[in-house]
This record gives sequence, structure tokens and C-alpha cells, in this order.
Amino acid sequence: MSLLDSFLIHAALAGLGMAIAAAPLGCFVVWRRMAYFGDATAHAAILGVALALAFQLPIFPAVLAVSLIMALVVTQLSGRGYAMGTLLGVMAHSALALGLVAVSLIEGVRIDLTAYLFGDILAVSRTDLAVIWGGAAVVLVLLWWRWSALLTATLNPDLAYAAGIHPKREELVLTLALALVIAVAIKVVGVLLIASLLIIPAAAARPFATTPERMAVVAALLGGVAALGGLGLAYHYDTPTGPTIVCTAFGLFVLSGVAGLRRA
Amino acid sequence: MPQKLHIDSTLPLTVARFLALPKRPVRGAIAQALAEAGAGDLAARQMADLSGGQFQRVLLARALLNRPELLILDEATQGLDQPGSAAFYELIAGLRDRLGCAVLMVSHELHVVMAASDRVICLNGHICCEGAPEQVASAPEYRALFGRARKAHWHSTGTSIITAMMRHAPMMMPKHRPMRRLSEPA
Repeated sequence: MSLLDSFLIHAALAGLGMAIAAAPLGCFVVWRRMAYFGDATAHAAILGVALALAFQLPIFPAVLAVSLIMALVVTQLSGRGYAMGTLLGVMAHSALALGLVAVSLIEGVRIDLTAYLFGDILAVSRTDLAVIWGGAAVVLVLLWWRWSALLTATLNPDLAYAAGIHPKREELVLTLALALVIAVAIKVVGVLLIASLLIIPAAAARPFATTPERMAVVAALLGGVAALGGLGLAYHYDTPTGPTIVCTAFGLFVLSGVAGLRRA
Repeated sequence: MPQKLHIDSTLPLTVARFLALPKRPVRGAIAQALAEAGAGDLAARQMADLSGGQFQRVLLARALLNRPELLILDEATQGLDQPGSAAFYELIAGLRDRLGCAVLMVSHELHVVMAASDRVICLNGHICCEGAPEQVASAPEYRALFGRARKAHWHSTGTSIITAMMRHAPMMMPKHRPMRRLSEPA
């Protein structure tokens, strides 16, 4: 296999794995109206990168830990005097700024920040692939296992209580899955665009869905199409890969919106 | 059965899928519960598209899925217009007769309470008076209350089973806050 084949195939596999895990999770993000929650958690990831470099730790666990802490802090602080939106606005951008400052303070390290901000899917290694597909598998299993409980808790906390489900515990499951997807996705689209892979396919799937399950499956399909299509377009037109994937997803969203309107 | 339930329109959900959450009931149970609640034609509809009356019937079907011996309704007709509300109470009365389940109902609608129930408890922070509707209607506390108080919580019960239950288990009754249960097998 030539070099070209191998890096394109790696990239395609990385994008696919990412999209398939992000889309069903993204449905929950959309249903629970926590789009900015994904953003805040993702932006904290750059702080994780800085800390990993400073203490010479592997990037993936550091990013995972910082994203998780961020998500937990936001969950705990919400509803205590600040509106969720305000809190997320503060935390998301502060975490990003803090991360950028922290990276610049580390001596002797010259890293390519754009690789973390926008991802570097063409440089995905075999190890990265294993991490991405491993992370995706964990997220999917987690969602599969808790699906009914998660759905009930998302629908209505009172309904969940009546069925013996703790909404807070289910929220924790989602938070964990979200942190995992973000840690995994940083290589593919970067911290600035992760939230788009979560939300755009789910939003594009909405007009075609009559049940939550169907929406999750359609979102995963659209995410996969966006990842492969975006990669192809980026290769053909020599554009940055991560943003091209997001643009492709957006194109699908527009098409689905038009189709939805025409049908309604 | 709760007072109301908000379902976000971002979540696509058919009535049938809603009734199958969190546990899928046995085959045919959903259709049967919907039919009993007078909502047999709604199974494929989206929850977000239902009218107030349809929504209440679906919630009722959800409560019936558990084959309840006691049906607890917390101001179940809130947001319904007069005919809708009357139809709903008629449905409840029919269910009580057919399924033999007791009905515990919180309501502000005095005429329904007085006309359709076997036993009435008038709450106004405390138990103000109780008994058969005729008894309550003639109680001096009741008359005094409706001279001035605007908000009273009414509990009326369906059968003698529940009368007994209420006597032995006073914690069944909330103080002032309506309870938030869907349904509870006695």
C-alpha cells in the first residue's frame, strides 16, 4: 500500500469512528438543549493539552481528565445563581484562554497549536486510530446500555423518578461520554469544531426522525457521510480537513432543513 | 398521573414509543391502554403535536399500563376547556367501573368533586372537613372556607377501598403541595 493510501484510509477511519460515536451523543446534547455544554467541555481540552505538555504526560488521558472536570464543574455550578448560558460562556472561553496562555508559558515546547485547535486528521497514526475506535466503542456501549434510562431522564426528570431512575446519575453518564468523545475528537476536528460534529448531524437528522432511535441512527449516517465527504473534498480542493468536514455537515443540515420544510 | 408534562419538540417521540419508556410492556399492552384511555388512534402521532386533551389521554394510558389498583390524578384537567374536562371525567368514571380501580383525585373543580365522588376531603393547609359530598357541602367549615379562601385543594375518592386506605394511611395525603406520582399500584 502506498503512503497516500494509508494516510487517507487512516483519516477516513478516524473520521468515521468519530462521527458514529459523536452523532448519537449529539442527539442527547440537542434534546437536552446543552449545545454550549459541548463547547465548554471541548474548550477545556486545550487546557488539558497544555497540562500534558507541561508535565510530560500523554495527551489523551490529560485531555480526558480536564474535560471531565470541566463538565462536572459546570454541572455542579448550574442553577446556583448563574444561568447555564452565562456560566458556560464564562467557563468555555476562560478555559480556552487559560489553555492558550498556559501553552505559551511552557518553555522549550514549540507545538503546532492549530493542530489542536482545528485537528490534524491527516496525521492520524495507528495508535490514534486505536484510541478513536476504542473511545467510540466505549461511548456507544455506554449509550446502548443506558439508552432507556437516559431517554426517560431526558424526557422528564419526574417520569424518571417515577420509574426508579436517578436523573442525576444518567446526566453523569452523558457527561462522561461527552468528555470521552471530546478527548477522542481533538485529533480529528480540533477543540474549536468538536461541538459541530456533535450537534450538526443530530440537528440535520431531526426532520427525518419519528423516534429517538431513528434520529440517532440517521445522525450517525449523516455524520459518517460528512466525515468521508469532507475528507474527499478537502483532498480534492486542498482545503483544511477539519473545517471541510464541518462545512460538509453544514451542507447536509441545510439540505435536510429544506427537505423538512418542503415536506411540512 | 401528573398535572402536566413538558416534552421538548427537539425530541422526536411517537405516542407508542413514549408509552414504551423506560420499559417496553408486553405486546398489545400499549394498544389496549390507549384504547381504554380513549386514545386508540394516537399511537403513531408525535407527542409534541398532541392537543391538551389528547395529551392527557396519553398520560392516562401510561398510568393504565401498570394495571393500577389506585389511580392518582393530580389536577388532571388543567388546561382543558369545559367540554374537554367533562369528557375526561366521564372517561375516568367509566374506567373506574370497568377496571375496578380506585381513583384519588386532586381537583379545584367543585361541581365535579361534588357530583362524581364518593368521599371528599377538603384541604386548606390542614384537613378542613371530610365525608360524603352531601356532608361536606353542609359542613360549616366548608361554607366558611368558600366565603373567603380562593385556593383549596380537593381530594375526592372513588370507591370504598380507597376510603379505607385513606383512613389507615393518612400519609397518602399531601399537605398543600399536590403529589407528583404517575400512578401507584395500591
